[in-house]
Amino acid sequence: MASDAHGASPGSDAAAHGAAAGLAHHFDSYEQQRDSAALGIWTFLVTEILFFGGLFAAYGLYRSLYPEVFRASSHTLSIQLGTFNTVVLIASSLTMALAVRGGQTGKGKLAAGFLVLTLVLGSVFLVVKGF
Amino acid sequence: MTATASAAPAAATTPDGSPRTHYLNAAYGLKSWLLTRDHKRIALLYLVSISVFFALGGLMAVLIRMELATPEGDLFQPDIYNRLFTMHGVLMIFFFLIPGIPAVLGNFLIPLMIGARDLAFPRINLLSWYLYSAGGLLTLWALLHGGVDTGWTFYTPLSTNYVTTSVLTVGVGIFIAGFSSILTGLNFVVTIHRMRAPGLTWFRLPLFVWGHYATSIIQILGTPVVAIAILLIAAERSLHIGVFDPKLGGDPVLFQHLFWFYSHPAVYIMILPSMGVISELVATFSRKPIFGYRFVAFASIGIAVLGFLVWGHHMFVAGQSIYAGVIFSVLSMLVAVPSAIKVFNWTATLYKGSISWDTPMLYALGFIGLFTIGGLTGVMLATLGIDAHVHDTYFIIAHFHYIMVGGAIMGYLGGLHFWWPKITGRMYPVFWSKLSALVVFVGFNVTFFPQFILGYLGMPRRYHSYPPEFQVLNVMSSAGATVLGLGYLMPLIYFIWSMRYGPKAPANPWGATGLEWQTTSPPPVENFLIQPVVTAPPYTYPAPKRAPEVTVGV
Repeated sequence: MASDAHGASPGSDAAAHGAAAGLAHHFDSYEQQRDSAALGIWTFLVTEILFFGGLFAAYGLYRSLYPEVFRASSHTLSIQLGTFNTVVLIASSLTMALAVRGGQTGKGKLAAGFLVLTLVLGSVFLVVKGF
Repeated sequence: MTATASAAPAAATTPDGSPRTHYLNAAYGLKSWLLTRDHKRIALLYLVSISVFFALGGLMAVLIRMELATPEGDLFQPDIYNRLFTMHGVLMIFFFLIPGIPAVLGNFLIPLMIGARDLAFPRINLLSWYLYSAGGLLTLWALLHGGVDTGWTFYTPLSTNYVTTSVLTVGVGIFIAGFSSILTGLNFVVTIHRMRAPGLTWFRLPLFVWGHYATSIIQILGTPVVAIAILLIAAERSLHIGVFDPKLGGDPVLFQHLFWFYSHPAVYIMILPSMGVISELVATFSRKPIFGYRFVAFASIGIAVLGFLVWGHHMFVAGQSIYAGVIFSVLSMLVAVPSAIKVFNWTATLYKGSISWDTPMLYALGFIGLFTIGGLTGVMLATLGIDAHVHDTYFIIAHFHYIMVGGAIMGYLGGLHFWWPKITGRMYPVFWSKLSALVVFVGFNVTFFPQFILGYLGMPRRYHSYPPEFQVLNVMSSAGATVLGLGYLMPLIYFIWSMRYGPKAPANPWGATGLEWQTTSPPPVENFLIQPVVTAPPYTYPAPKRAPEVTVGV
């Protein structure tokens, strides 16, 4: 246990504890810290699913109520732009995953580069949506 | 906060075990509070902010009861009255009751109870307070600019097409505050999963923690849905996209579905933490382990799960199909099963216990009685026939006030009285606190019991005038509200008094088990000087001065 860390600096919850680099003061081990972060992000994703779940429910309801309107409006979509945007979207997932990988392996510059690339691809996606 | 880092081996303790530095005197100044990541300080930030909203919401209630003392609508114009009850509901529900126990007592106690140094994500914890404050300030700003008059439920098409008040601003305020609630829930779930002390298995957790775990599940699964529903209201109002507008093919009842999918479970966000508090109080002041621990624990989860399946009971007369109505009716009655398990198990815990009548216990006993009345009238309302008769009457008002005020607030005050010595390190006056419990209980019943009768006789909610024959009961209710208000003022005064003049509290003034009582009052910054190790289930009463389940660990 990290009981030795307690006596070290009881007054500072802002300062780094110096005991172990990158380990927040309230965690006992890197494993606990990583597990907590993973569980946290998964829980956050659950909330996102519920958040958009409301929208999807509304979409599903109206799609079943007015199928012909949805069919008619689908003819106004462009297959070329849609295909292009799908590629952009999937590519941005790849660059994001590479950024995470860069962060995990300690290649900060690489991670930052991929993050910027992800942002650019995201903007491209939005711009194409504008057409 | 770095200023006192030099106070280093402050493990230097006095013989009775109280450290010289604790979380309150570890640092001073506004910055040390506004930038803190200590869950205990964030809990106190929440305590101050929710008290402000409670006072404001209470003020609205005072004005409402003043208007209703006479049958004529003589004090306020009808539109002002609409704003009053709407703002009363919005402030009380979104800014007092929902954050209430979790953000104050849960925030303070969960890490202490599970032997952790903080919540899993301290920065997110602080962020959630800032989100809460931002949402609250926005709502207050809207209040000063005319308020909102749709009722706290924001039903369409009233809220989207007709009213001219600040629906957008208040909607955004609630949306932001909702994310504060989501983040608190997320933080609790991860903390309870990952930060428990060695030996603290799931079935050794205090029931307070189980109650908060169930609450967090609702916050995570429900709040996002109401957030999107409110966002859709905003979109509909400003862009007229037609999701809820029948003229454009939309369906106003869809809003009610989305709204109640969250807002019914939201009632359980208010009551489940309160039930957790009551479990702690009943066990401590009966000196007995809680009867049927696992049943009480799983009843919390059961209420959380069932809570998501009953939203349709708000819409029995809103054009919902009769078959859906029947199913929602049965499911709603099922909620009574886990609730009754809790009430019976608390009662069984009292049986042959050595009961002491300390203030927190008085609040707990008040809770059990009032919650039982609120719950049983809930079963009445779940039946289709009765609901059609009393829908939108004062019967509904009385029912949910018995749950939210008689249940949630009694639990909140009981918990505050129980853990106040731990939080501040000070005791409060015994006589005045016992008197306050009594005054609140009596005032509450005089206020809300007449409303059951009024509703059954047919007085509708949300009107500022009523036929003269209802006056006697309404005057009773207003008189009771005055007593209730006095009952709430008393703790406010003596708690503030006690922070300066109250006698110093020992580490464990109630002789309770539970890890939070093993550390000093107030606790040190990192909660425990030595990592606790748990070797026994909770509530191993009768407890000696230092409970046997805690041994000093590695």
